[in-house]
Amino acid sequence: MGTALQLTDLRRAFDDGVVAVDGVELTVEEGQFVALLGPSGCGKSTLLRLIAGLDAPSGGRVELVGDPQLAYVFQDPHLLPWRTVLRNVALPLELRGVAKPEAAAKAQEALSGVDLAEWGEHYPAQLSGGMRMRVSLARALVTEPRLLLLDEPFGALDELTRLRLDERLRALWRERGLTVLFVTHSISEAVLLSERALVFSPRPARVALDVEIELPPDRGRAVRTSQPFAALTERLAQALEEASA
Amino acid sequence: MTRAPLILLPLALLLGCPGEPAGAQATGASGATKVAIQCNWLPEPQFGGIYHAAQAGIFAKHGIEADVRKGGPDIPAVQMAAAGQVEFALAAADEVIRIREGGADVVAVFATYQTAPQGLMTHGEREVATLEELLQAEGTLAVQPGLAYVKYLEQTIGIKAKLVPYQGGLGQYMASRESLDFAQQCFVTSEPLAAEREGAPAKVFLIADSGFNPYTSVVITRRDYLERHPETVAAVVAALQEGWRAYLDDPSAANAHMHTLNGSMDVETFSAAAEAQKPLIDTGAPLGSMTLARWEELQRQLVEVEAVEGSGKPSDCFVSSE
Amino acid sequence: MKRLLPPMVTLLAALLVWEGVVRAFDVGEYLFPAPSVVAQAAADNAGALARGFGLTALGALAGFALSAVVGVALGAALAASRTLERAVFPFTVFLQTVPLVAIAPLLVIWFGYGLRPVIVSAFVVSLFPVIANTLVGLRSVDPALRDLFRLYGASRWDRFFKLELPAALPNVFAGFRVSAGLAVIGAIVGEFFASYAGDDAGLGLLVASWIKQYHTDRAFAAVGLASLLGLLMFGAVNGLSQLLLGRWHASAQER
Repeated sequence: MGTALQLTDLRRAFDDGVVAVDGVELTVEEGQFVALLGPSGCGKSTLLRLIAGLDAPSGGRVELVGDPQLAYVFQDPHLLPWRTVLRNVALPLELRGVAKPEAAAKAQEALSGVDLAEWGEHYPAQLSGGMRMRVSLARALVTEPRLLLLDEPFGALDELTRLRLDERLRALWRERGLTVLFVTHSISEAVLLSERALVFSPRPARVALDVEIELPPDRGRAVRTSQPFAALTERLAQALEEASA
Repeated sequence: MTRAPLILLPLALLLGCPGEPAGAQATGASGATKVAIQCNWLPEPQFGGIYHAAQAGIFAKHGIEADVRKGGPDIPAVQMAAAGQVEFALAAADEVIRIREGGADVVAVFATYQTAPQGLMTHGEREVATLEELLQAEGTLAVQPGLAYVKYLEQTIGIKAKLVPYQGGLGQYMASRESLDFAQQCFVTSEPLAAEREGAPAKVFLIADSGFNPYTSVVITRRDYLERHPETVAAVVAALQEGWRAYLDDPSAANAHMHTLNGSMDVETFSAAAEAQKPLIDTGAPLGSMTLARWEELQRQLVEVEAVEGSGKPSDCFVSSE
Repeated sequence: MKRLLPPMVTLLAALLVWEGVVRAFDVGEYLFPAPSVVAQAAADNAGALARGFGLTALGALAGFALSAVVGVALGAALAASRTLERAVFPFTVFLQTVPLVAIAPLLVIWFGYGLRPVIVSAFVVSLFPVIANTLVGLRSVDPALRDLFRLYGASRWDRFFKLELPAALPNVFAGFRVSAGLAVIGAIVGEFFASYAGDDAGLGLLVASWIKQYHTDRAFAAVGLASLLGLLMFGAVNGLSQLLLGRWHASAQER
């Protein structure tokens, strides 16, 4: 397992004087599931966009080792309303020049992976919020990315759906061994999902705490209600409070 | 018009019925009767006598305060008079017969032209010598859609040229200087003279020579107005006769005034046109007078070419100043 | 059919009121003919009206088709570059404000008489809404979707045809809806100046000609047909919108 991602003294300042990210240093190993925690507006999203290449840093460097296939999941599903669910999932492959039949087949597989195999011919407008998020996830996974970036993807969903999707995500991660960066402001979600949690200070974003999540790989109900889980949650909560002070 | 409850008056106004209650007349500052005279074209020598009568105080002398309004291609002078929006308007005799059949009881009181000044003009260099040859030649003929004499010519001589809408002025004429195969309607006293001044002299053919000769620039009014105010109408007719006599003798003052209202024609053309139209107006008969025979013949011709059904009586179309 | 009932009832009621008012006030036929008279005139002149309808429809449809294609292309070009937009857009606004009756005689000089200047007239009048709405539509694309496309390395071609154009389609159709009616008006006004008479007369020329002859009833019949043409074109645009947008956009869906 080598390094997947290296951030060196990363900085992003905007024209209006706002400094969203200041001097962030970070190394992520291949196959790690990393949660990025922090209060709203602290710059986590900006950091993620810098990593994805959707934004350019004002200072420092983003290094992605081995030019990995990237995928990004937004806070809203952002599906193309004029395409069917299947063709939405197939979109990244189409854009990379994959032939339509092959893209469709892979898309169908990805849909099965999120338990939406029968919904390919429907339109996004006909799906619930949770289902649309699953489609967005399937779309992210269809290109078999090595690095998956998620920006508070389940924030708008209800508790139960959220939990289900968290479990699915973790299962998919375990299956494929990809590197995941997961931005959230939910501490319990961070502890549930990740092996490593980073707590960020309020804007400008700086790493305030970097802690390993030592919990069993299978994070079922037993683990969720265990003492170590609670202890980690408390620790992160404290760090968050201190960082926000 | 039937009497209707007052509350429906706004609707009546909307439909163009006269807004004045019956019997009333507007009076001017000096006690003179106010009337509006709606011309059916821009100020040109065809209205010279009217403008002169207004400018030189001839209307005033007869106790009339005349508001002479300029017209144009888009102003429906005849309908305005028929609906009572103006007391008098200018029209061609064939229009009078046609609108009477459409339900408007208007009547002619003064005919300016004894010989209709309408003509067809084409480029001087074009190889046509008669009206027949012109109509039978290939090319385009620009006329206002719906003119009665066009129907007449179509039926009697036949028109081979393609008819297109006439837009006024000489724009289309000048644009066809190269191809030459263009002809358009005109008043023989105005557009051809203007064309000559622009360096593109024209050949002109008088429509009246074909036998179709309606009175032109006829002053009309509603019959009910005539019946309620016969003295006003008589005064207006008298003023017109005087005004025209004076204008025929010396058009310069009225021309200068009309030129300020209509800059599209220059002063020299005004003067040449005023001169050229004299024989069409002053034919020995009293100025403005009309005969039953002429009206009967016109109705006969219009019925022949199916422009009208002929349900009206020609004698109802006019009152002679005699 | 049930959908057509409300407007049909309204139309019938309006016609009855019209007929009633004309009879009650004894309005002259030359001024404002009753529907019964107009209907009779339509029947008596069915041949000329049908030919006129065909010609005007041809002019309006061709002009509209042109403005649809050119308008979307121009809108796309302006959306691609803010500089170009700033440089060119003010002049497209000019298209909306130029009084057609003023330039129509020029159209005759440049394009002659007959169908061609009528098509150009319809085109000029109906172009602006397509450009403006296409521009708005293309500029309103979800920025997150733009990010998505960028992330996956989409080509310019893909970005336009797979993202921008479909996203702009509801707006483009909004533009088409306005444009269709304007094309009819443009064709009619063009015909005032450029239509041949006789068998080649478009509806516009028939209206002008019959008004001049005080056949107001026939003129009304022609005007009615022109309105019908506008309605049919509008309906066609709506139908197409339903086909392309029906499954995914609120604007084309039944409630």
